[in-house]
Amino acid sequence: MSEEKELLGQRLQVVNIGLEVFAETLRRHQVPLVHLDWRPPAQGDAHLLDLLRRLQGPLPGSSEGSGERAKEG
Amino acid sequence: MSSGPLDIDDANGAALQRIVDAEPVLVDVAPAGETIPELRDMVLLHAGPPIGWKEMCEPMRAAIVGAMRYEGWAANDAEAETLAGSGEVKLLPNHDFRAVGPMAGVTTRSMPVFVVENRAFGNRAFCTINEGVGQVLRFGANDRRVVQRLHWLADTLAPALREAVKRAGGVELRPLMARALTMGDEMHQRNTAASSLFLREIGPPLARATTPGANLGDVMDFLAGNDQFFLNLAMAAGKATMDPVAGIPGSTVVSAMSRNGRDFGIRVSGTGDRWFSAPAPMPQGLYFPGYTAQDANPDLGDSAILETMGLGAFAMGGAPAVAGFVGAGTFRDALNYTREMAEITLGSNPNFAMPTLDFSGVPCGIDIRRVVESGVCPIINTGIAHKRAGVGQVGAGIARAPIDCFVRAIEGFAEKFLA
Repeated sequence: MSEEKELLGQRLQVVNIGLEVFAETLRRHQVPLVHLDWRPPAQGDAHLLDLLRRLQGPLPGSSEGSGERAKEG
Repeated sequence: MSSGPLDIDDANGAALQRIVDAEPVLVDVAPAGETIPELRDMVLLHAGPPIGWKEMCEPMRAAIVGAMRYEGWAANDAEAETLAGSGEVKLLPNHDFRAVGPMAGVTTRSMPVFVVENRAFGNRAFCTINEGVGQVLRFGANDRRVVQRLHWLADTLAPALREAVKRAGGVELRPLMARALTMGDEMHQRNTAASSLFLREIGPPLARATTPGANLGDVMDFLAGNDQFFLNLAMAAGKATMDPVAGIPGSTVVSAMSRNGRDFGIRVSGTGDRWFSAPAPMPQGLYFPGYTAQDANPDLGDSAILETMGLGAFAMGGAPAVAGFVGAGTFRDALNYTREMAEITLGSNPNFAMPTLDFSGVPCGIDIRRVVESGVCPIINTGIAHKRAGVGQVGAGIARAPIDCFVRAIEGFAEKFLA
């Protein structure tokens, strides 16, 4: 608890990640901060994330790919 | 790359290298029908992915009507509209014929086109000649003066340029564009330096060329009076650069981006000629006096081929003056746009260096995977057409390619290569 109290008593140092509206609120109160523009990969869409994961490097079963590679897929 | 397992990284490396290696050279100025054999009577090319007459926006329809009067296929607007609506006139995308056109992008057989050869790969690409700004066919103006200007371009300007280009032994566009970039052009909404450099290249052979019937003074006035003259040359260079990138098996690099005023479409190298489309966005920008965002047509034109190759908005950090013109903000914003585009591209083109960014090359090689993963969409500098026929250009701005194009492209690519 004492560590937390100590932290709350210090000057805020903020890195805001994602929604900029939180950064704007702090800026209005003159809190110095760094805003990082970040979004969840593929907007968190599980189907797209799965496709993106599979579309890395060698392609497992393309029509132009070899039979051997297709078997691996 | 035709046998053995495909590797996306290898395929994309090849795509990026082809963009960097391109050597676009202006080799001719010729009637479109001479260079595109499929362009016969009653065949007309337009910007963007395929679209039927009924679905077209008003500026594109107006440009088609004007082009049909210019060709003599119709005596008046009503006759032209009936012909176009009946299907007697074939309406096809420029991109299917190695061509591009700004805004409505209408190309017909007797319109002159720049012929640009990519000497690294031997392919050729075509683009019509820029008519100037304001009330022009590409923005949907089509009155008598517009059609008269088209005739002057074909009958006076084009033959003079053709002879001059022949005398010059061609005009190498890559070094000219590279220099223009260092002078503040991004070659989409700012072509002030490139147009001036081109005039310097073509001026002496133009003056020496024997062009019976041509009025050299009028030709020089026209070239000197249009800051955007080089846009269409840059576009032809862009198409000549990007066509060899198309059709590399396994590559997720975007080979074309274009808009027809209703849809925004992209093509991806590995999936060949297939378009992945979504509704065209509304540009955000600055308007000429008397016009507002209410007057704007959705984004339009093949000119996004420039962003596809890494110029235009992708190079905005190297062209700070254009940021103000398109309402994109400050110099810092311009730098940030270029840095943001670096997040969705595979590399950079050292042939197009930006002094303002420590001479780093423009970001190029848009990877559909990076776009979908990051949610960062390509940004495009664009002219804004009035949504009603006959008015013309009303402003300039920026537009974001819709994410849905890239989501559909990822799904289409997976369908082909993960099946």
